[in-house]
Amino acid sequence: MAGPGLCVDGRISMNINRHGNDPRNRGLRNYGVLLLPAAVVLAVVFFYPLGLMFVQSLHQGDFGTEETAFTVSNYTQFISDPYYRRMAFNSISLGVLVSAMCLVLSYPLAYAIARAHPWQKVVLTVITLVPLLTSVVVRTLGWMILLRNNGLVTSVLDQLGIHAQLLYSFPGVLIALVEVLMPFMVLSLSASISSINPSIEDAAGSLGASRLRTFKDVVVPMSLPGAAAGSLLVFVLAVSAFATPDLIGGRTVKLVPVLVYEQATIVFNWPFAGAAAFILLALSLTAVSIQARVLDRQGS
Amino acid sequence: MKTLSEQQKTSPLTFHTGNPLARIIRRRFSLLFLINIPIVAFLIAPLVVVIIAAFGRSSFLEFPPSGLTLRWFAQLAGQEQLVLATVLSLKLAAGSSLLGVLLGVPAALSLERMKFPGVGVLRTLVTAPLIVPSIVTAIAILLFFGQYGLQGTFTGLLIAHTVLALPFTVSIVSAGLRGVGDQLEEPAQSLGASKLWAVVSVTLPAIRSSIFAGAAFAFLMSFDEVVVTLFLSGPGLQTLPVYIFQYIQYSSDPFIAATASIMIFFIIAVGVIYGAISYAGGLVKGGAPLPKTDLPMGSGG
Repeated sequence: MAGPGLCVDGRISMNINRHGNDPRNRGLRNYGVLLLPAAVVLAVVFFYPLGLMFVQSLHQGDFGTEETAFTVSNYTQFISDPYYRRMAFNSISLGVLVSAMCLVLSYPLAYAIARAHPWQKVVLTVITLVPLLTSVVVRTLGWMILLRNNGLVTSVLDQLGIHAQLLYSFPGVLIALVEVLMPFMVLSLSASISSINPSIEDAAGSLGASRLRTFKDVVVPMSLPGAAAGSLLVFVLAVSAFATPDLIGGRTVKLVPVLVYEQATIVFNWPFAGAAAFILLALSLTAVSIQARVLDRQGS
Repeated sequence: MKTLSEQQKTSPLTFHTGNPLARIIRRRFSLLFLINIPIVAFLIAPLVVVIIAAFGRSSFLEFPPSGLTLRWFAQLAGQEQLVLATVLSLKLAAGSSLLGVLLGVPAALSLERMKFPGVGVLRTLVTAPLIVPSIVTAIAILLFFGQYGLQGTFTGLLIAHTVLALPFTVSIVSAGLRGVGDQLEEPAQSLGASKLWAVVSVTLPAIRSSIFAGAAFAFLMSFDEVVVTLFLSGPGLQTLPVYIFQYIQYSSDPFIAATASIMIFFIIAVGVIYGAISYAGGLVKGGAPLPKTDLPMGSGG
């Protein structure tokens, strides 16, 4: 991915050297100055608050009792208590299931977007983008209407002899999150499939492979980097999602982001909320670093 | 002669030739097309359900509705709280996308043109608000704002939304800058322009579509953001998504579905205009018709 950028960067560095003491460089001697305003805003309103929260999470008790000694008890409590371990397990399984289901559902749509005629491509892309750009709250409201007792989905399932409670249940959160996060997977996959040369598929076809076999043996293996990147992105977003699990799961589906919310705004145990938040952050960063490694391998 | 051009046109989707009607049918109702019908239906189901439920006659949300009425849409106009929420959402989205561009364009320029080993780390740090889960960002900023009385103020919300907008503007503008390079600045400089004036008069106009795309994305993300806003909003200071979130936490009726429908109509209008522009502009020829960025877009759930 960084391939073409490198040679451009090389040229730029030469130019800067050449114009190093040139009077024409006046007013823009150092590009670093341009980064300063954004860096200050991020440092003060993003990184400092994160640091503040980290310090808080190393204390015990209520907000404002900074005098007490540093302790890791909030973290050890989270890790040693089976109740919270169970919650972390729920969050991770939700992430894995959501990304797996997104992957399966997104492949056909992504393939159609990558290979369809221009006007169909535009229509399908808009169909993918409109849900992505619509507020998560609005789409979650749609799922609350669909999934609730005596709603459309449960009624159809009843007819089939399956009596399921979907609203305020783990499967309900799963269904809604798959839909909420699917556009990310579709976009990631279609970008990856677009970069495969169509003549490779033609070649497979002219050698007698059926289109299904071409898809299975050519398209899927060649788009694996996109699939890996999309899966990890969806995993991270699913593990850290709050609005949809809170509305669909109510207080019955125990997940880490909902715990963070409850501890901070209902129980007012800020140090514990901070510790849970940092455990969530560590989980996300682990997945992101795996994703970065996958993308690096794809680039080289 | 004719068959050759026909073949080129239909490839790579069709390998077989035959009578034209059969070919059209095969293409339109291919396996891929049939598989995609339920998938697309699943993707847009909640939006369709919200819109239809908003027309329901009964005073509680039902789907499918037993009768249709426009009553709930008529009620929207009289809701002062809703008007205030809409105005606040628009003000925040416009303000944070403007600030995001003002801070993000110089930052992107700096990140693209600076040349030292640590620049990749800086880029990651600038885009960090996208990677950190929004619930974590939310309680961290709440903790910080609480100490300075910024919680529940417009200023506080605007600052927070700007922080969330920055990764979008920076990454989209960076991709645009990488596309144009700095070749055009050299002739301008040799004609006597200063480096700064060369950037402002040559490079910025060349990447105006990226700047616009960055601003548009920042606007839409701010307009949709719910988690951070939920924590930082106060009494009398609710954005549209927060208004809907807090409403449906405890009750749901066609009135809130009508409110949500208005948001969906707005996004559909944006999407259709975007689709028309990208189709007319031939943006779709290579790859997906999306602004180029090297980052995952958006915040989920």
